[in-house]
Amino acid sequence: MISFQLNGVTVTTDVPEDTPLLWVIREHFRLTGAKFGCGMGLCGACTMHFNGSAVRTCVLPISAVADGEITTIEGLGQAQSLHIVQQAWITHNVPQCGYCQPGQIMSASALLSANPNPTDEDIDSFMSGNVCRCGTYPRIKQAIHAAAEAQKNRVVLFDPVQGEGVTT
Amino acid sequence: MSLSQGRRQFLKLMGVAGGGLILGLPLTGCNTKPYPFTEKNQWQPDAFLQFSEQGDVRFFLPQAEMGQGVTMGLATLIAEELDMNPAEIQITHAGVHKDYVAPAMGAQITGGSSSIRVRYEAIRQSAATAKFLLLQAASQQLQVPVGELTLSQGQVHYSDQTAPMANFVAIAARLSLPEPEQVVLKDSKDFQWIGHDRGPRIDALAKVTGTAEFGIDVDIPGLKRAALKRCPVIGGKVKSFETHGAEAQPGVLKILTIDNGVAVLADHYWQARKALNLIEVVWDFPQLVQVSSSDIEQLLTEGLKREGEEAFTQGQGAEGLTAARKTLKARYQVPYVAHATMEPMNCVVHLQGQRGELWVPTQAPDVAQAIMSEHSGIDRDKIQVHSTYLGGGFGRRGFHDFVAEATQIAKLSGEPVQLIWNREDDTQNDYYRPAAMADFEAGLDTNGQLQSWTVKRAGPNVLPYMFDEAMGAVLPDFLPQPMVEWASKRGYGIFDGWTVDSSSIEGLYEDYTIEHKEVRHVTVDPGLRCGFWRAVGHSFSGFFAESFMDELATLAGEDPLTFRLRHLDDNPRLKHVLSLAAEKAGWGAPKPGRFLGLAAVASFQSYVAEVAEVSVDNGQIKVHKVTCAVDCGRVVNPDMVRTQMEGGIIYGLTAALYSEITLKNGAVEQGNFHDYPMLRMLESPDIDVHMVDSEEPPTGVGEPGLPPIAPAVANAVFAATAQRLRRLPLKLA
Repeated sequence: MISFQLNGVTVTTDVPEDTPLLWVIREHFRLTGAKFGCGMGLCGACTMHFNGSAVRTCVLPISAVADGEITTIEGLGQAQSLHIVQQAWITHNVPQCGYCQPGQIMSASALLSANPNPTDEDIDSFMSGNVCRCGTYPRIKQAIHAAAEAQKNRVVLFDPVQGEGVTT
Repeated sequence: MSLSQGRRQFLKLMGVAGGGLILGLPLTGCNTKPYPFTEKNQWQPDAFLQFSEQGDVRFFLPQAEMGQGVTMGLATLIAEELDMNPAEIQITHAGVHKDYVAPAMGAQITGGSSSIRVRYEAIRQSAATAKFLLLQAASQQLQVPVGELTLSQGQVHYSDQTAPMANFVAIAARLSLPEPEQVVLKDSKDFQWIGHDRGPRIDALAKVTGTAEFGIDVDIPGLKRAALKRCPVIGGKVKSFETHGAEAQPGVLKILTIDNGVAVLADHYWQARKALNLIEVVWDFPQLVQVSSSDIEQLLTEGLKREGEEAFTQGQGAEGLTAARKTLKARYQVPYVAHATMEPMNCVVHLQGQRGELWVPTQAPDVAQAIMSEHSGIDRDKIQVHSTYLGGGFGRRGFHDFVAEATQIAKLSGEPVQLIWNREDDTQNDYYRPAAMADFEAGLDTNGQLQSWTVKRAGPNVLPYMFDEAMGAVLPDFLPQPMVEWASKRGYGIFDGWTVDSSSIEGLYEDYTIEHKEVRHVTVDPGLRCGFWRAVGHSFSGFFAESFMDELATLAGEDPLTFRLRHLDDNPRLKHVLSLAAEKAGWGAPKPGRFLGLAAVASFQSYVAEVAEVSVDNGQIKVHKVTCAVDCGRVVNPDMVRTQMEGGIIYGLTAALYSEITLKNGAVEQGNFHDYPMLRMLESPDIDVHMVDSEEPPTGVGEPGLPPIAPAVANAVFAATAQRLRRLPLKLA
């Protein structure tokens, strides 16, 4: 029996220890925001936060997260309480097909926690583990800069109720 | 020649164009069939729109949303006519019904950058008709002349009063539809939404919160998960297998042999995948096992020695070369490439006696339905298809081998089944962009003007594979399956000696004014299955033709831009985007250490030019910036156009710099992103997109951004190194 914090709630599971976290979260806890892309930690579609750091969960055995804290895209922010990175993603029209975006957003939010003011080079280096086939990279970069700026100035970039940005 | 034109020609050849007649038999009329997902107590004036008595507006999205922004694009058209915010329109992926068949497509296919082009008028007409009826109803109810009523933001306005639109839905539902000419579409000068960016794309919120439902996210009660081991050579069959205890692994329910492999069905995906690894299969290999990549190169080279089929001739054709003052020959080639959608192939199949349900990310739900019908024995019209968002399509999801597989597993097991491919399955079982090789020869006259252009292309055709795939959906329900199968195989011979698949030659010759032209085609199909891949024929012909054009400019001793412009007097829209891109990119004045290359390609009735800014360091090509100019007629959503140009450029750049599928003894050698790499953020250029302000009818943007990028980069590499790279992926010596 393995127990861990999932989006702030303690959960337990008895799946075999080598089961990748991704499949436990998707099929046992039915949070399907994190996606399966490669199964080898090469594309980042499965990215979640493990104790605050971005990890590739398609290759992370469930045993490794025992007693740890896992945050998924569902725990990062929801429609009525968007994380600043999610807001920036909307205002910069980042998602196209959207499949890789939960992973991109989890990576970007981990980057901004560790480095609130990243340079282009910081972003290139941190985000290059996340593949996007629709070609949203230029917008991801812009959105990360916008989120960093908004975080600094405490600005809400997108409010789904108002449909636009407001300053707090 | 666009994809849709190519398909239309082909369907005409087969006698099924326009859903009319085949073999003298009328298609079954299905006007009386209800629309899928119609709800009770709602008004549905046509296939596309539904109004509730609470005033909700629902749009049945007839095209696949695979990232290209069609949800936003078509909702914008409705919003414009109904004067409401597109974000307030509820969206349902349409099911299968003949009224959703895209004009000129023959089936419910999203492809060929066609959605906006073919639906721009029809969707507006649909919304304007609903508005017409709502105002008629309001007029009756309020006793106000209809000319004094307006509709906006869900309210009917008259003099200084308003009433909710919802009040008139029930009355509108009882009115008979007006004649089309009674309905007046909004004048473009009054557009509030079309041509403006007034909000983010409407699918963005779901996609950034992880709530957008893709095929892989579907869950239904009792669902079991399957993984399938296939032959390393596509088309191989199971001879025998050893389970090595796979059946006793936790969660494993069944081990099943289907048409093309051995499947494990389990409670959970990871259980199925792990157990599958234990199974060893002895395969009955298909003929393709005799083919390796070196053989393909040889086959294409030999093919080009054949005369081939005449595809296009103008002036004196190849004879024109005899009058040239200078001539130039060059051979270009590209490899097979895979689509590599981020979401691997998957679907959920639920068979329930004489009816069934399918949840599938697809570019052609009716084709998916026909394939499920073929493999389950359930009538097509008893199969409900639930389309989901697509985690990328790029042409791959017009093919449904995974639906055939899942249906067989569901039928044998009696369980509702989700089949999930892994990345290796996906890379090694694609319908690949065909490999191609082409010989060009062109001649300049004494003024340095191009006077002749000949090209012969050798390679596989895509349409036979599409026809094999789609025949079941295009033919009437009542034809017996053997006849459908017979008809579906006709494509393989038809393009070899009888006619030419236009998608094999599109883009090789059309854009420039040249007196003598000749295009020939030699069908050489080594046997690896092929499909539509973003930009289809233009994905290679753009590279070929626009690189060769640069070679000819060098031969003429002229700047590549002015040389092109001199040959574009009959193609003013392409000429304009070329000038615009060059101007915005600072053509002629690159930064120190940087080199510029340009290319312009008309495809899918849109016009795109790109300038690539490149540096070369120790043999490594780095693309720093791409400046793009696009003319796609009237722009519906400016930012969607920009995103599609960005996407086409990055998708095309991945292929230009990295992508190559190779075969060894018939098996695809690449499997995952370590040996089939994708462009990543580190290598992604800045992209600057400029749109031409146009009132021409809107055309598509999903594909046209792609064709110019490979030649623009190759031409910049030539400027940097004087090396002319004539094959993809681009590699410096």
